[in-house]
Amino acid sequence: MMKFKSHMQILVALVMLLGFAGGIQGAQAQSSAVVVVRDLTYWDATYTGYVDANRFEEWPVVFTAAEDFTVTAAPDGGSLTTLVVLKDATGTEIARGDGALTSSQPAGNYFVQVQPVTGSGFYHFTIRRVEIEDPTDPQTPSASASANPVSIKVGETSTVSVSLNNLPAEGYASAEFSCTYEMNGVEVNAITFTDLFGADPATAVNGPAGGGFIAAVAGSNGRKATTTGVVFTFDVKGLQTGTTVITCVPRVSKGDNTLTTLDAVSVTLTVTDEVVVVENATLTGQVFAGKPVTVSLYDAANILVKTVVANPDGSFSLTAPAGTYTATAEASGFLAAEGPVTLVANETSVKAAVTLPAGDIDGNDVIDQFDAMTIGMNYNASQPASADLNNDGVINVLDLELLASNYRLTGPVVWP
Amino acid sequence: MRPIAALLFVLIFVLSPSRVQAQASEVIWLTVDATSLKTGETVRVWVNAVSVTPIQGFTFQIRYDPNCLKPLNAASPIAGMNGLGLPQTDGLVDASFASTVPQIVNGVLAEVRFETRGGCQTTLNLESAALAVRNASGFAAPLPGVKLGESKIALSIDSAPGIPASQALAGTPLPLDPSPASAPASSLQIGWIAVFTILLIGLLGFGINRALQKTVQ
Repeated sequence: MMKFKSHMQILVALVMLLGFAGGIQGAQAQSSAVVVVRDLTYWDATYTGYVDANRFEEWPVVFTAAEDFTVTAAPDGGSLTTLVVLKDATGTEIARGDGALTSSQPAGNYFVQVQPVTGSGFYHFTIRRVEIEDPTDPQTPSASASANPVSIKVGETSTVSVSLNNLPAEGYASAEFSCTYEMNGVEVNAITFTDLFGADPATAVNGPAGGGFIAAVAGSNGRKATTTGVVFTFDVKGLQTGTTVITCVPRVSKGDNTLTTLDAVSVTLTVTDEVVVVENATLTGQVFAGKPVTVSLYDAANILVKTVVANPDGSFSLTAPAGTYTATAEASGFLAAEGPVTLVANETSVKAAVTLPAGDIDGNDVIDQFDAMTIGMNYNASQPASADLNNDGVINVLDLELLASNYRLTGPVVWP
Repeated sequence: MRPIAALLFVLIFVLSPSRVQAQASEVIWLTVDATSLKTGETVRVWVNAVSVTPIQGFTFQIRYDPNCLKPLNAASPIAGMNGLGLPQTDGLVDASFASTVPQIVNGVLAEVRFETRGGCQTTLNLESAALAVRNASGFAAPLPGVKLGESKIALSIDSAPGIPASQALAGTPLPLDPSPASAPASSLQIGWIAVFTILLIGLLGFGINRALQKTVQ
């Protein structure tokens, strides 16, 4: 027993001596304990220290880059429990932990102080880097998403690709992606799977609806995805300006009837204002008919672009973006006229004057017996208005006379 | 076995399409007063119809050979069914009639008269015909399901001269003469026009000459 006590005394004396030899700074501790600065050279190495109520130890740490790390001060038996305090270069406490602490710090000078919470004694000091699961770590299976382009205008479309990366050697038998997006900002369509899971995979899509969709794919006939690659793509059309985050949560299966969730992946899409420079052009002309005439422009897709009611004398003028159109002139009870129009920006095009043939009362593009019979059936009445070809408020022989002059004509007539 | 066969027969009879058509059909057909005629006589052609639906108009087109026949006029014996004067083309009678009130027709819709032009073997062909109703929008619309019955009638015209009909048409006659534009003038007509023009010029020249002579005296 005595021998042990003398050994302990020698050891303490040696530690004290080594402490001074290592450049101990006589610092004032909170509890008037002496803080002994220790040397620390290697990551993952185990150093031995000694603390008690009058002696704290401080381990200087220099980071040349940001680090994620864990410091442990594990008592070497006895009654000692330790407190680990992380300080910056000025001595300001950053973090503390009982027996250990984990922290992430940028490059710089720090100190790790070890002091007893209870008891005293020897401890084993270690500082280790923390391995944080990094999606970009080539060893970790993960998913990723990208948009091309990342910025679109309203009405334009970007293609989003969702990939699986760093697949395990045994591969994945299936994968399911639950994706969400801002439904007012963008519209999703054209979800298309690649052959990452082999040829002729089984696929399923639920949605898109309500700002989300699920895309699932499974390899057929035992095929699996074994390499990094795009699983599926989809088109995103900008609906309104703003920034939209599209997030997909992947779940994968190795074929063991278990779905494992990987970290969610997101892609941010910016939708900007559509800037349309409209260069207008003007079309004028004159259409003769005994009734009010409507002149309209239709684009190549036969969509109505502009329509105006001609003046009582048949003259008209309308403005529309430069382009190629089909112009039509229509009046109730008359065959329509139709012809091509090319409008040049900031210029006025003049359409040839045209006369609409009277008599197509029922609007079927032919002046025939049934138009004539409509006059006979409604003789001396005022309705249907299209039968009142001379627009005098009464359907009579004068209207029949107009019809007869165009009998058997078909429309629309050519409007040069 | 017998009851089943009888039931089957009844079912076939009841469901037979021909029976359904027979019940629903409304027909227009042609008849004539005579098929053997002499030159210059009048052919009376009747356009007939049976309809269970009240109509407000009808139209028909009869193809004829203008070398054998000349259309004169047409009229409808139906009260209030008035002819609509529309341009005619040579070789086709195009007649339409309309009324302001609907009425059921069962019999003659209209009578059409032709004059025979010379010795011919020809055919009258009811090319198309329709009964018309006034739809909810006020437009004349064809009554669906109307079928053409007897539509072709062969005529034998002797070159020997006959006597034109003197009996008047029932109803207001609708002229069916093709317009000058659509009926090409015959060489005889052109000859008469030329003679008339020469005579007119001659008379005019004679008048001017006399006037000049009086002035000199």
